[in-house]
Formats: sequence, structure tokens, C-alpha cells
Amino acid sequence: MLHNIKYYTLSCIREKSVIFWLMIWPVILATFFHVTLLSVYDKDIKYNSIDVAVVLKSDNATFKSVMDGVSEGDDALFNTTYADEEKALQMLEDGDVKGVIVSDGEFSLKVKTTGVDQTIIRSFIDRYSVTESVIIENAKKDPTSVAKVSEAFSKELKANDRRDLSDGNMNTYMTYMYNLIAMVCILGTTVGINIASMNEANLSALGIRNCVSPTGKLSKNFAGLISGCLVQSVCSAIAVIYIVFILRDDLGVSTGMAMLTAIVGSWMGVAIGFFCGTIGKFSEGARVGLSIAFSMVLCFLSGLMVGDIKYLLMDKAPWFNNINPAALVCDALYVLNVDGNMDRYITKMLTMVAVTLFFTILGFVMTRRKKYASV
Amino acid sequence: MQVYKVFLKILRSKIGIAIMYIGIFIGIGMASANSSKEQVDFTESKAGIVINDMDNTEASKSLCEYLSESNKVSYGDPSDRDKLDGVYYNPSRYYLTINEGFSDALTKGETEGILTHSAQNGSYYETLVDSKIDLYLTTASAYIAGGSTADEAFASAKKALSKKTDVEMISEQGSEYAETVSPFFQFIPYIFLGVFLFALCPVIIAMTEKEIKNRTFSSAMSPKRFLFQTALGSAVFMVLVFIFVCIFVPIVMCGCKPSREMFLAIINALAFTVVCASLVLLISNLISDEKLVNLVGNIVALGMSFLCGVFVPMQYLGDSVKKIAVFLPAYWYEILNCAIGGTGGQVYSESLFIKCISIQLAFAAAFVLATFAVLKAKENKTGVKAKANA
Repeated sequence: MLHNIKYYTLSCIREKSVIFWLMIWPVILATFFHVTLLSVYDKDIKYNSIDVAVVLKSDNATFKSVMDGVSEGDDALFNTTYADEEKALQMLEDGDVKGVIVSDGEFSLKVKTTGVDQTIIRSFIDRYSVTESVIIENAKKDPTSVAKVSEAFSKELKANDRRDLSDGNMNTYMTYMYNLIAMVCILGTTVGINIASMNEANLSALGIRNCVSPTGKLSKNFAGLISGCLVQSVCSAIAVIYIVFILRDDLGVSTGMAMLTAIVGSWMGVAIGFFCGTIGKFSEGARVGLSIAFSMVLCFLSGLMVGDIKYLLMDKAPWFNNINPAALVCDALYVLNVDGNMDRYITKMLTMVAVTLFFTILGFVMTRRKKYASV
Repeated sequence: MQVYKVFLKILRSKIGIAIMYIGIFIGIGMASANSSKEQVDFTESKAGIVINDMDNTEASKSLCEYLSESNKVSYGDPSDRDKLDGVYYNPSRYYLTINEGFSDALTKGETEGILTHSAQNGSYYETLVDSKIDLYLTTASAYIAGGSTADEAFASAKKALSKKTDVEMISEQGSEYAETVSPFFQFIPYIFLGVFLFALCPVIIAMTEKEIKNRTFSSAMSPKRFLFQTALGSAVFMVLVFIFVCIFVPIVMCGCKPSREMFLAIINALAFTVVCASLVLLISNLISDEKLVNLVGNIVALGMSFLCGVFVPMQYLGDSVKKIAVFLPAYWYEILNCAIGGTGGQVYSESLFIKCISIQLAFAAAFVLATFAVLKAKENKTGVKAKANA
């Protein structure tokens, strides 16, 4: 058995395509994700002071002091530039500012595109205009109420408490890294198919030689699975180590737990591949091609290529995420990151173990008592 | 035209890859084009607010109505896990709970903690919805302070807040190109690199394999004719893909009328096609194993796409990424494409057009020169071997 494990492992790691697709490719993809996607969270989702240009056509000291007030400090609402209209519009055209506020008795806003930044700018001007108009309206009704009304506007209400749902890393784009780890795990299907075809006489020359050897099929397959899981575990561990220690990305989970999840996911991938390798009479190449295509579809539905797919499925068909192997790995890492309660994580892990056992047993059943009169 | 026919015959076996990439292109392009169409007029960004109204009074209903005017509001009491999933995967999601006693507390001026919310911590959408709620409550409080009753205050606040600041869009709204097919052209580098590298490189490698080449040249076929027919086969394929992707899809499938912008974008795509042709030439001479093409092709296509603003819009790319990207031809394609479409903060000018096209062509020339160097090195190697054998 140990002899078989050793040589199955050696033949596995000598396969160039295994080295590339399971070790080098995830590293390259993780690097691309790191340099381009993860920073989008800070620019697109997390609030940064919005660049605005202000054109004061008429003297409006109150508005200027308000703008100065909201443009100060580390958590400033705006990054304000005062300019004449021509320069301000040029800044807008060049993309240096998101909007131009024009104060000419009344306020107006000039923008180039629509978006949440522009909506916030408009909301801010609305606030200023409303404050002014409500004070004037109340002053007309009851001049003595002006002080109280003004005080109401300047008073901080503290009405809307924030309730944080998680202490984890809330960077949505981190799911791309989770999906990348899931991809490595699911690509283990190719290793699984390789193991099955090495022991089937109708699939490879090696299979023919193995079948005529006196070693029992159960023992050979078992040794193959152990070596496959070993190689696959190393590959997924490399991906996790690269993300955590080289790229220094915060997965939001401890490295040990991330590795545990990735390793269990890898075994699941190998088991699925092992089962796929035992069914039908396709050539090994066709099986590997189909399994890679199938793995990629699973990864796509888990959000590897388009992150929103996951949420869409979560909304429309939540059951699918519970049976999609790629989504199981991705979700396990996600719940470990954001959910303080381990219930969901344990459910995901147990599902992965169940899938692994199910396909392994099914694979053994399929290979049992197979005899080849001629190949 | 024997070589030409064989070339097309081998190419036919790779047509599936080309169809797959073009399918991806049409899918992504359509989705992006549809989302960009919404940006013609100024529309406020809408947060998805889920409200749990535990107070259920006129005041709370009034707040809900106000929020629903400018946001997508739904009602319910989701579990914390559902909220967590919603907030994590959808940053525009905002869960608001109107606590019991909201109306009474607001009337008395005791506003602290009358609402609770959960959202992406410190996000744009949280800031936006927080400010809208705060504005509504402050305005209502001001009316109450001014002597109005609670009901009057809410009605007056709603009326006061219905007046919005005028917004003028100064973008080039007339440009049909920017509204419809600009996103299609953004993805062209990935598609062209994918189609040309994965379909053409294996064919050229197969045609120039040592044994096949020797057999071919031992016949009456001259190297010049062989080269010409191989180049013709590649050119025909590239032209067909180019016409389909850059002319048929935008004009026939998207219904975009030919315009100056589109003409400029087509020239830009043509320059990039030349870059791809030279890259195909280089890679197929550099690599002799078909399997390696898959690996190198993926790295080149995805690498350029990620670093040069094909997948991630230019404005989100970090400065360090841009510093690296300037050494890649797809970056200059994207710069010009953004300028033509008026996106990514790029402004079109003739000098920019000439600069971007020239740089792309310079890259193509560099790849061709590199190919000659590779061929020369191979020749020398063969020569040394032949001398050693002699």
C-alpha cells in the first residue's frame, strides 16, 4: 500500500498540467485579483471624501463656511475646491471632481455621470436648501420661533444607531479569493479522474498494466485516493499560504481554519473526480475536459467570474448553493469570516465530508468487479 | 493553395474555442451595455432598504413613504444571518428597524436610539441613507420646535423635502456609441487575445512542426508560398473575427448607427488586432508545444485584461498597477477606448488618438522584431547542431 501511495504521488506531481493548473495558475490568478479587485472595495464601496468644485457666483458666506466645515478632518464629507465656472467645468470634464455646485442665489448641481457620489452631493445641497427654507417659513409664521428652529437643525439627533452584524472582513471582493481557493479544490476532480483511469484497463495503458498486476483493485484505488488527496491538499495549502503570507490579504479567518476548509474541499474534489472517472466509456482526455468545464461552471455559479451571481442564487435558488461543491467551500470560508456562530460552518463542513464519502463509496462500487476480457 | 486549405482544415478544429470567446464577449457586452444605458439622464442612486416598522404609527409610515420615494423599499423582519448575507453581498442593502415608541419620542424631542440600522460599515450607501433619514427627522423636529403638531410636522417635512436641487448633466448625451456599444469595445482585448492565441497559435505550431515542415519543403512547395498561404489563412480568420466583433455585433446586433466615435473605436480595435497578430507570431515561434500555448495564452490574455482595465474599470486601478500597465499594449487600447466613450476620466483629443495608436503599433513592431530574433536564434541553434553532426 505504502509503495503504491509513494508512486501514485510521484506520478501525480510529475504531471506538468497538475503543477500548472493546481499550483501555478491559482498563484497567478490570486496575484491578479490582489492587484486589481481587492482595492475596488476601498474605492467603490467604502466612503471616501467626494471631490467637488464650488462656484460662488454671489457672495454666500454661510454656505462657504458650511462647505469648509464638511471638508475638514479625516472623515470629511467632501474635498472642496473653489473655482470660477469655467475652471470648475473643466475639472468636471477631466474627472477631477464628481460634481460642480453652483451658488447663484439658488443652488444647482452639474454632473457628468450619475452615481452614488452625485446623489450624496445632491442630498447635501437639498439639506442646506431645506434648512434655509424651513427657517424662513417658520420665521414668517412666528418670528420668535427662529432660534428654536435653528437650534433643532444644529442639534445632533443621534437617532439612528448602527448595529454591526460582524467583526469579520466585510470586503465583498474577498469572495473572489474564497472562490479561487474553491476553484483549486474543485479542480481536484482532474486528479480524481487520473486515479480512476490509472486503474481502468479501458482508459489508459497504465490501467492495463495495473489491472494485470496481482494487487487488489480496492487497495490500488485506495492508495490512489490517498495520494491524490495528499497532492491536492498541498496544492490548496499553497494557494492559502500564498494569499495569506505573500499577498498578505486578510481572508478574515485564521490560516489554520482556512487550510482545514481548503483541505476538506480538496478531498471532496478528488472524490467527485474519482467517481466521474469510473462512469461511462469516454477517453481520459474527454473526461478531464468535461470535468474542467463542469468545474468552471460550478465556480462561475459560485461567483468566481461574476461576484453577483452568488447573491442572485442566494436570493432565487438558495438550495443550489448548498449542493454546489464550489459554493460549499466558498461559503464555508465566508461564514467563518463573518459569522461568529460556528453552526453554519460546521453544517458546510459536514456537507463536504458527506459529499466526499458519498462519491468515494460510489466510485468504489462502480469499479468493483470490473473485468476486462480484452481492451 | 494546398497549405491554405490545410491551414483552414486544422483551424476548423479550433473553431469551438473562438465561438466560446465570442459568446462570452456578447454576453458580457450586452450586460454592460444594458447597465450603461441607464446613465443617460440623472437618476438618484437607490439603496435597497428593508424596513421593519415596529412602531407602526403615522410618523413611522410617513418616514417609510419618504424613503420609498428615492429608494427601493421592502418590508420585513429578516434574521441576523439574512441581514449579514444581504449586507455582505449587496453593499447597497440597508436594514432599518423603526423601534417601538418612535413617534412619541420624536414628538418629545427624545430622539436618541429611536432607529436601528445595519449596513456595510462606512459605505457610500450607508452615508447616503443615514443622511436622508437624518434630514427627514431633523426637518420634522424643526417644525415641532417651531410649534407644529406632530402630524403637521411630518406633513410639512415631507412637503419641504419634495423640493430637489436641479441637476444638469453635462456629459455628451448625444453619443449613441457611448450609450450602447462602448462597453463592448472595452472587452475586445480579452476576446481578441483569447480567440487569436488559442485558435491560431496551435494551428501555426502544427503547420511549422519540424517533421511536417520538412515534408512540406521536400515537395514542390517553396518556403515563400508556404509562408504566404499560412499568413493568408491567419489573415482571413482575423479579418472575419474582426468584422463580426467590431462591425456586425455593434451595428446589426446592437443597432448602433455608424458614427465618428464608432469609426475611431474600430480603428483602435484594428490597431489592437495588429498587436494580436504580431503576438500570435511571436508566441507560436517561441513555443513548440500546443499544451504550453494554453498556459501562456491564459496568462497573457487574463494578465493584460486584469492589469489594463478590461475587467476592472480604469478609474478603480491603483497607481502602481497603472505604472506596470503602461508597458502593455492593451492599456493604450483601453485609454483610447475610454476617451472615445468619454468614460474613466479620459478626454478625447487627436493627439491622444495618434499617441495611443502609434504606441500599439510600436508594440506590434517590437513583437515582430522579437519574432525575428527568436527565428534567428533557432536558425543558429540548428546550424550549430548541423556543424556538430558533420
